[in-house]
Amino acid sequence: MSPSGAINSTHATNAWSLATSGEYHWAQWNDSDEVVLHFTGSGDTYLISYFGYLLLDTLKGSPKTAEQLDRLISSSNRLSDDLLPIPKEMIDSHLFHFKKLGLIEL
Amino acid sequence: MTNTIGALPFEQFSNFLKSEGIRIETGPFVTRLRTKLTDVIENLALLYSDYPAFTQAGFSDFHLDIHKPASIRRWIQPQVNFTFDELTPFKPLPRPQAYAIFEWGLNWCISNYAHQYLIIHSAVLEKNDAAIVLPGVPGAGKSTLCAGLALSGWRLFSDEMALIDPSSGQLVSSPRPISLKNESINIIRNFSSSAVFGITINDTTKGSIAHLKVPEQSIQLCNQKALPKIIAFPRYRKGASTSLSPLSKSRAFMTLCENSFNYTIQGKSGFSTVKTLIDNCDCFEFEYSSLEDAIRTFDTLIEQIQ
Repeated sequence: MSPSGAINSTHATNAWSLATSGEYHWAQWNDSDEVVLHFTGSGDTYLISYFGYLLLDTLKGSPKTAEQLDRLISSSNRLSDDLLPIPKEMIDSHLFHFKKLGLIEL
Repeated sequence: MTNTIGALPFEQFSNFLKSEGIRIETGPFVTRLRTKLTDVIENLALLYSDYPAFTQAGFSDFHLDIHKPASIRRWIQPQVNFTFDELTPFKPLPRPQAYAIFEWGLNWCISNYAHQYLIIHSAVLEKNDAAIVLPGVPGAGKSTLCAGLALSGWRLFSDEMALIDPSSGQLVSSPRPISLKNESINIIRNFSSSAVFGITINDTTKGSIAHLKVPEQSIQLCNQKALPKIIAFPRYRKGASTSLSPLSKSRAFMTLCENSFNYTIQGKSGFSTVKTLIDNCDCFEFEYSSLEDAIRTFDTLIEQIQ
């Protein structure tokens, strides 16, 4: 799948969910925005931006489309105003990247 | 019976090594070693004189044998082999590197088999019940700094490996001779008149190396664990001013993982162990060129932590 292909698919009605193949373990400290994620499904550990963390955190509970993620994060007060509105490309590129890593699935 | 190696008459020590082997205790590990090579025996007698040793049979974590291969190479460009539990995991090295292959081989055994610990490629030292973890890639100046601190009143846990007990988050001490390379050998010789070195081994893949004897107190207290308080990633740069810069904990986490021998093997437990380690520590990047300034920096830092 190409990045452009992912952009098309994320903005369709497809709903994303967290991968069911493992558990998500987080480590976060107040000295930076970056968050550490250990995913037991792959055994890998990632350094994730705060926005990436928000995306994954918002996916908890139930599957969501890219538009729903945009709406939920934008209204959550968890992102500073100067980062709003969230560019669609930013959501799409994160979703594409997370899919490649096996962290989310359609 | 238990004794230190130094308390054994040299002839007796040598004879045990040449026959059934001798069991040497280095913190939590017991290594049964056999060798007939005189330079290895003499270097061991010097560098390991303060370590407990057992001449009777008993449990050993690792069974090692350092010997010349039984081939024509015994006479033409002689070589040396390292055997672990009757296996030969490495290609032979040139004969003058016999002592080095013992130290490297034992490091290999621990990093590949001691998975009861999370193991990070790092020097570890302790002062005032607080431990510092100094992870570093080869050439970063980790061992030089470690040697300087060990010769300045800090208790050496290890020059090579931080052993972290996942159940308590404490660091476990397994002090062994500090491997110094090239210019570092003379830096430490000039730094302290109490520095005792084994033989210098030239033309290794790392250049010339010599091993620094561990201060006796570090061996005597090696059963005492310590909680880590500082993680500093050292980097030697010629002419650099001493600088200690805060490093974000998330970045420190990832760099520790990169420097770990068995993080991926430990899975979720490894993640939890590193997280606890980072939770308990202040994290820094440390650049230096003056060993004296570097030691002063860590002396001050550890006092502030207290």
